[in-house]
Amino acid sequence: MSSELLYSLTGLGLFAIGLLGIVVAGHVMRKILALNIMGIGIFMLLIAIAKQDGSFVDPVPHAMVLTGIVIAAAGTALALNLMVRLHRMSDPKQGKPK
Amino acid sequence: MFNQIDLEYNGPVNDPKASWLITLCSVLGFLIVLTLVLLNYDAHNAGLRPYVEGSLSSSGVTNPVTAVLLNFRAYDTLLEIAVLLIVVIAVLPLRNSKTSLVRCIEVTNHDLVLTSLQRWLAPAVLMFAGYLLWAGATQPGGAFQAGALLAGACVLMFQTGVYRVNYTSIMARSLMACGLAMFIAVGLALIWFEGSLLKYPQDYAGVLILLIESGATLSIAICLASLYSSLIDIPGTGHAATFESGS
Amino acid sequence: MTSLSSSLLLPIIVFLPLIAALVGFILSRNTFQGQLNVGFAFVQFLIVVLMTILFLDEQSYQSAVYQIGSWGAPLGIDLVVDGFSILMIGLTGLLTLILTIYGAAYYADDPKSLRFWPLWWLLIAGLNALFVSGDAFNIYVCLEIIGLSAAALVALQSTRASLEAALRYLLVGLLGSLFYLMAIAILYRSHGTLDLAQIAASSGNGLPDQVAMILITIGLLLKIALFPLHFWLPQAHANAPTPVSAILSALVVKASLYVLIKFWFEVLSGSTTFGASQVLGVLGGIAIVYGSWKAFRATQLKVLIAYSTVAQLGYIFLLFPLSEHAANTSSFSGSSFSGSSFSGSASQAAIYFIVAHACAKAAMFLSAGNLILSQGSGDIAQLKGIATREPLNVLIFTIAGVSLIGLPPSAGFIAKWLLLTTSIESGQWWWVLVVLSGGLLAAMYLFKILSLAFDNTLDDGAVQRQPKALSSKLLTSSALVLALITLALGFNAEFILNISNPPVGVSGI
Repeated sequence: MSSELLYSLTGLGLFAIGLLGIVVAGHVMRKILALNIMGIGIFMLLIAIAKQDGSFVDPVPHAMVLTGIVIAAAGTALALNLMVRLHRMSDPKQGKPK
Repeated sequence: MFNQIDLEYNGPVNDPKASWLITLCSVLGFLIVLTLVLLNYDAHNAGLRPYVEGSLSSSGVTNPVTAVLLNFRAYDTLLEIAVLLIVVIAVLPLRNSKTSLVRCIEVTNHDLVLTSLQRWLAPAVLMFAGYLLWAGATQPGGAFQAGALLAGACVLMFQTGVYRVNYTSIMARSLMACGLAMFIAVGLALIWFEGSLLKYPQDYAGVLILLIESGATLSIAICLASLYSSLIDIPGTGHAATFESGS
Repeated sequence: MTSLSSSLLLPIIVFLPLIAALVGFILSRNTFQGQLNVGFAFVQFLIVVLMTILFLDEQSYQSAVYQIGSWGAPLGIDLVVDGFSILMIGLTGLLTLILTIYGAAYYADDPKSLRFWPLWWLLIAGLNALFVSGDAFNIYVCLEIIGLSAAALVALQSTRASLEAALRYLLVGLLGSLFYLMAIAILYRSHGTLDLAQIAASSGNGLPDQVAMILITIGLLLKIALFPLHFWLPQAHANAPTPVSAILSALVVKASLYVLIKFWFEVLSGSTTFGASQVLGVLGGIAIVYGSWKAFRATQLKVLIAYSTVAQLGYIFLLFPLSEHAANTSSFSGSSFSGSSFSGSASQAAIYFIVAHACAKAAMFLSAGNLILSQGSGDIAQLKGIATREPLNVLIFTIAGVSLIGLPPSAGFIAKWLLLTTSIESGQWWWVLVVLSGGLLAAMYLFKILSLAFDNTLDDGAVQRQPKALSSKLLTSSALVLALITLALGFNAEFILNISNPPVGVSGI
């Protein structure tokens, strides 16, 4: 079993775990984390794809992963921000003074 | 799935029947993909590697990933910086642009560990971010890594509450926008000079890429730092209280 | 490269909204934001009109290509425009102009406008970039721009309901994009390129392509909100500010639909099957009936219109079984990327439906927003007798409703007529029943509103609200312009069909 195949399978595994987490997780925070795990699974798969034949790596999937990481970070930040705002709204102790 | 946005419940799965059904479905779907990879569908031999290698010498940098990110597929990177800007706009408090970018506040109780970390670590991180930005042309590194490191340094500096940053000041907003603005300006200027969007002239490609990357690094750093500060309650600073000052 | 051609304008329509967003972000004063943004929208509209004229002029080839950085397809990113995308760009330009005017009036003297305008322009930039993109990964980035800015716009009201709707919308959008990204990874693995034309040229019906097609379909159906995956749409569309609701229903769901149609009929057309298209058609049919029923039961005006969007999207999915049938019977080469595979009467019906629904639904949301502004409440029960106070807005609502039901003379009538004739021609008569019953159900929920609006009997139990006059004439007049466009489209069907399908003569209308 080559290391590329191992990476691909791990990536697929992470994708499936994340998908499962999104569906069954209760708290929104867990759903956001699960989305990130799914994303990381795809990134691992892309990195494995970049190194198909031995020595030299294909830089395009690496660039895709870098772009994807920034986008995933941005999406996570927005989701966390909305979650925190909702939380402050529902919790009177921490809520903003009206 | 997202039918109820639950902020309180933190326990395990609450609907076993539905989740079992969905488990089954997703595992089945997963198995299809798995067989696809495992079975005899060979991957495409080299992907785009031969193309990248063929044009690398005229890209202005020698690191192939940087060449793809900032030359061959620079348009993607430009849009990606726009994605970051979207989140910053959505997260920033509506307006409080009167005060200046950074204010120092006298704090009486100094945390020794944090203060010394700031003194020793922050300059080193700053140096290293600069190095990463510079090294991106020839080896792994570049704007995003440098920007993330810089954002980390910012987070460290703002831990104690000695420095308060007003992310809505005109200065901060210009810094956040400068990465995208510089990218767009260079791209459009090259239409004028070279006849095509983002077509770097051979001799200046390296310089232009470094210019774009420097702008992007600054923007990314301050954007990430503002995203961080929007999420946390920094003790004593009342940062998050000004969160939704407009409503 | 010296003479002006439509492809040279492609980067401009992506960069102009980006510049508008940056200007809006850096300017902190909102005194002249409105005029400035209307100016940007007008310039964009002019460029789009120029581009459409140039494109129709260059009928010698079907798709115009702009190579960013002159690198060319596999290495760089190509911007591609064909008949379908020029139509979507034109629609975006037109709706942007009208909705920006509306937004300028809606957000006059509101501090939220400082957040609204940059996000608005970034959303437009994402839409334009998506419609001209010819690169699979670039489409992913565009989808994320659209998804994030749309979710941020939904959250603009900062009420509890809107934040929840925005969070749900954001998470669904991110999930859908991840499915799409997974498909792109698989496609890149087996094709070694990200360019759509090259993927199309080398695609067959192998397992990798089929798996990629399934993943893309799941991911995009989440974003389009086809029936079982529609759960997020009503709340998101109903809780957004009015101009945002209008653009979400009119353009944002259509953007994902555009990508799905592109992959289904052009890029991976070899890996789609008749059975799969029937599944989509059945889901569309259920969406029509279910969405109309929920719309009938809705108690809030905007929720009703949002469920109506769920139902109307169902019609477009009838395209899939109908076109697949046409593809099976007529001989066409599946590998051609020129758009010839996505022609024929079924796709024309769907394209026409997209345009008709976009204009009618935007007009409906704007007039509903005006009614809500004037009434101070979104309850349908409160609308009693509103026709005497806001006759013009009720008229706009009625015109849009006529188009949604599919009565002549309106764009919706032509769209439904095309759908009906196509389903009879292809021998799939069961879709006729769905289309007709959908029209009846739409009439049910719209006449419910109208009969309330024209009900002048005073009952003393009702709360006597103080009706507010609308703050600006622009609010009503921009909605009126949209309604008139909806009517005009009913008389000018061939114009739209010609743009979407330049070389083929349109007959039979």
